[in-house]
Amino acid sequence: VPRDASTPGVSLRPPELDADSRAWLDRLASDGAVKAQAVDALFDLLYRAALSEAHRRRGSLPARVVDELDDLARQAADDAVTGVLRKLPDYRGSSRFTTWAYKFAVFELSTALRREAWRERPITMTNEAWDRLSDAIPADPATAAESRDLLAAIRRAIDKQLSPRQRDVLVAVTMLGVPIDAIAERRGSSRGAIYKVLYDARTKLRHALASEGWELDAAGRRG
Amino acid sequence: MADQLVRRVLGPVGPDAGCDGTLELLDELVELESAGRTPPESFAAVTRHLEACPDCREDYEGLRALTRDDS
Repeated sequence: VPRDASTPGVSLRPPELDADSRAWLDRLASDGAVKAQAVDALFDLLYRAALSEAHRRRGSLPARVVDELDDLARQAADDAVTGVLRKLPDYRGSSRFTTWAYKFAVFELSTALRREAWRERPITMTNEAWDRLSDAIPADPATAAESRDLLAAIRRAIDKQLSPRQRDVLVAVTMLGVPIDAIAERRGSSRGAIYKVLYDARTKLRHALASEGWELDAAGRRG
Repeated sequence: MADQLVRRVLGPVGPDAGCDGTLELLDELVELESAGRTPPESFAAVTRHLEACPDCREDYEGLRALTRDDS
C-alpha cells in the first residue's frame, strides 16, 4: 500500500475524492471520540444497508430466516465494519466511500442469508436434477430431437468426464439452484474456491461436447 | 427453456475475473453503470463472471439497488 512520505503510517488519499468520502476517511483515520463516532455512524449506515438488502430478498427466503432478518443484518453490519476498517488502506476512491462500504455489507449479509436458508436443507444429487434436464426439452417436435440429443450429451459428459467433486458442484449450482456460498460452508471452503471447481467443470464439459461434434457458441447456443 | 438450461450449465466463454476479482471491482462497475457510462474493456472479465456466478450476480444486484436508493 502506498504511503504518504510526509506522514508515515497514514495512507495516501486519492486526490480527486468527493467531499463526503474524504470526510469519512478523515473521521475514520482520526483518534478518540471522533473515530468512535465515525465507527458508530459506519455501523448505522451498513446496518441500514444490510437490512434493506435483506428485505429485498425476503421473498426467496424460508420463514424461519425471515424471522431472523434483523439479527442477521446486525451481524452482517458488524462484520462489514470490521472488514471496512481492515481494508481502509486499500480504498483508492474509484467509487464513493459509501458504495465501497456497502459492498462489504452486501457480501456479509448475502453470504449469511444463503447459509441460513440452506442450513436445514439436504444438498443431494438426486434424480431431480436429471428430471430438470428432461423437463427442459421443448414440446416443439422440430427442436425437441436436437435438444434431447444435446441434453443427453451433457448428461453423458457430466457422468463420464467430471470428477465427483466437479459433478456435485456443477449439478448443485446450475441445476438445483444451490448457492455457491452454501456449498462452500458445508465443505469448509470459500465462494471463490468452489466457483473455480464450477469453472473447471464447465471447461471440461465444453471440451467434451466439442469432441462429440457439438458446435456451441460462447452463449451455449448451437452453431 | 432447454437453451436457458444449457447456458446455465455451460456458462459463458472467455476470461473470467473470478469471485475475488469481481468483488474487488463491483463498486466501481455499479457506479459507472449508474452514471450511464459504458464500463471499459478491462471490466469484460468482471461482467462475464457476473453471468457465470449466481452468487456474485445476486450481490451485484444488491449493490445496484442500494446505490439506486442512495441517489
